[in-house]
Amino acid sequence: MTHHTHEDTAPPEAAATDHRRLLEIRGVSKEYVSVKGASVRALDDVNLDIGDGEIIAIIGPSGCGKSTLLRMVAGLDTDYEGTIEWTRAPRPGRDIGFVFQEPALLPWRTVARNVSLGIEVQKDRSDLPTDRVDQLLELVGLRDFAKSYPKELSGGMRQRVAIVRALAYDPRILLMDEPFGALDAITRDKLHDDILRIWAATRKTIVFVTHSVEEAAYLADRVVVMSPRPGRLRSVHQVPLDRNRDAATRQLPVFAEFAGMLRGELA
Amino acid sequence: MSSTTERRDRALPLLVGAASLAGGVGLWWALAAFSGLPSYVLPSPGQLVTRAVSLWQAGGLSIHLQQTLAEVLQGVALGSVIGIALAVLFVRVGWIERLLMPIIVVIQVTPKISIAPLIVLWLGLGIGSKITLITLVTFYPVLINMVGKLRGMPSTMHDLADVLNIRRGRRALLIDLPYSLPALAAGLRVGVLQAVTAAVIGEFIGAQAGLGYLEKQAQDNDDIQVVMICLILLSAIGWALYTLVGLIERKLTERFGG
Repeated sequence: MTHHTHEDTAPPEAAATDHRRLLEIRGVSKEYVSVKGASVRALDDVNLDIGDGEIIAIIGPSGCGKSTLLRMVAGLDTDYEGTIEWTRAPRPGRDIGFVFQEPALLPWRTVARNVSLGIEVQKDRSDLPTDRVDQLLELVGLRDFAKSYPKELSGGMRQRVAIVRALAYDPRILLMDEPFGALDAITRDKLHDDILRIWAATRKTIVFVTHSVEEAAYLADRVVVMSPRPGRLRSVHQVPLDRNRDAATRQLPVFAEFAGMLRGELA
Repeated sequence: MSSTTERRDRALPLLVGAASLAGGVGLWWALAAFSGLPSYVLPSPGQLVTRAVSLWQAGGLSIHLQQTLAEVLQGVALGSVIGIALAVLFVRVGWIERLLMPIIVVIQVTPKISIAPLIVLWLGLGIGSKITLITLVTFYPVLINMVGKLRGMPSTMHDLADVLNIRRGRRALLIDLPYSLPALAAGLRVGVLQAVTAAVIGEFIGAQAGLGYLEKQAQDNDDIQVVMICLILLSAIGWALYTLVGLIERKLTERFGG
C-alpha cells in the first residue's frame, strides 16, 4: 500500500524510536457516498503510530483525506473502519486540543474568557495554576489583549488565541487542521516560532495538517505524505534536523533539500 | 471635512422625514379649516391637542396608556422568552420540533382576530387575555429568526463544542443562546408591531381599560376626537417600540455579533 521512495524513509507503521507510543492508527479506511450516489473511498488502509511528545506534519494535496484523518483522531469523525487505539483512552473534553482552520472564537467572550472556555466547562481543574490563562497568553505575546474582544484582533492574533485555547486545559495532544492557511507569510512565520516555543515549554504531542512543505519541514519531527483518491499514506519521513530550530534553520542546505524532496513526493 | 459630510448625510433624511410629517399635519390642518367639514367629523390638530390635554389632566388617558403599554411589554417579554427557549430546543432536540411545529403553524395561520374572542372568553376581560394574545403573535417571529440563525451556525462552532465536550444545557447557555441573540431583535422588529395590533384587538373585543378599549368606547359615543387621540397614541407606541428594538439590535450585535 505504501511506497518507499527514499532510503531514509521510515516504514509508515514504525513508531518514532525515542518516544513512548501515544496512539496507534491501524488499517483505517473510510468510504462515503457522494452527492451523485457513487461510493468514494476517502481513506484507504492508513497505518501510523504517534509517539508521546512528537510533532507530526501531515501533508498532501487537497482531497487526500488528511483533515478527515485528523478529525478521526479528535473523535469528531467516528464513521470509519479500522482502529485508532490510544495507550490511555482520551478523556472527553480534556485530552484533545483542536485548532481549526478558522479561529472559531466566541465573539461575545474576551480573549481571556475564550482561552479559559475549556477549563470552565470541566468539573475540577484545580490542578491547573490559577494564572494559567495569563501564562499562555504571555507565551504567544497576547497578555495585553486579555480583556480585548476577538473582533479587535488581527487574523494572526485570533489564531494565536485559538491555539492557546486548545492548550489551556492541558490536553495530551494538540491537533491542528491547516491552522496557518489563512494567514500571510510573515504572520505565518511568527506563528511557527510560537509553536516551537509552545512545544519547548510543554513538550506536547502535536499533529498538524498543512499544504506547505516548508511548514512541515520547519516544525515537524516526522512528515507524513499522503496521496489522494483514495487517501493513502505515501511515505513517512524523519526530518533531518534537531529540535533547535529558528529562522536560520530555513537557510540550511539540508532544510532546502528536505523540503525539495517533499515537494517532489507531492508532485 | 468628512465628519461634516457624515453629519449632513445623517441629518438630511431626518430633515426630510420631519418636513414630510409637518406637511401632513399642515394638510390636515388646512383640510379641517377650509373643507367645511364639521369639527366633530374632522377636528383640527389644535382642537385634538386641546382635547387630549384636558383628557390627560382629568386622568382619562394615562390609565389607558399604561394599561396598553403594560400589556405589550409583558406580552413581548413572555413571547421573547418562549421564542428563545423553543428555538434553542428545536435546534438541539429534533422530536420536540416535529411534535410542536404543526400546532404552532396551525395557530399562526389562524387569523389572530378570530382567536381573540376565544381567549377573552377563556381568560376574561383583564390583562391576562391581552398578554396571552400578544405572546401568541410575538413568539413566532422570534422563534423563526432564532432558529434560522442557529441553523446557520458555522460547523467549527459545533466541532469546538464537541472537542470541549460541552453538551446539552451547557451548550445551549454557553454557545447557542449568545450566538443567536442578535436574531432576537430581528424577530422583535416584526413582533412588536404585531404586538400593538394584538393588544388593540384584545381590547376591542373585551376589556376594562386600554387605548383600544377607550377607542371602542369613543366609537360607540361617536366621539371622533377621542378615536383620533387613541390612534395617534397607539401609533406613537408602535413607533417608540420599533425604535427601541432597533437600538437593542445594535447593542446585541455589538456585544454578541462577530
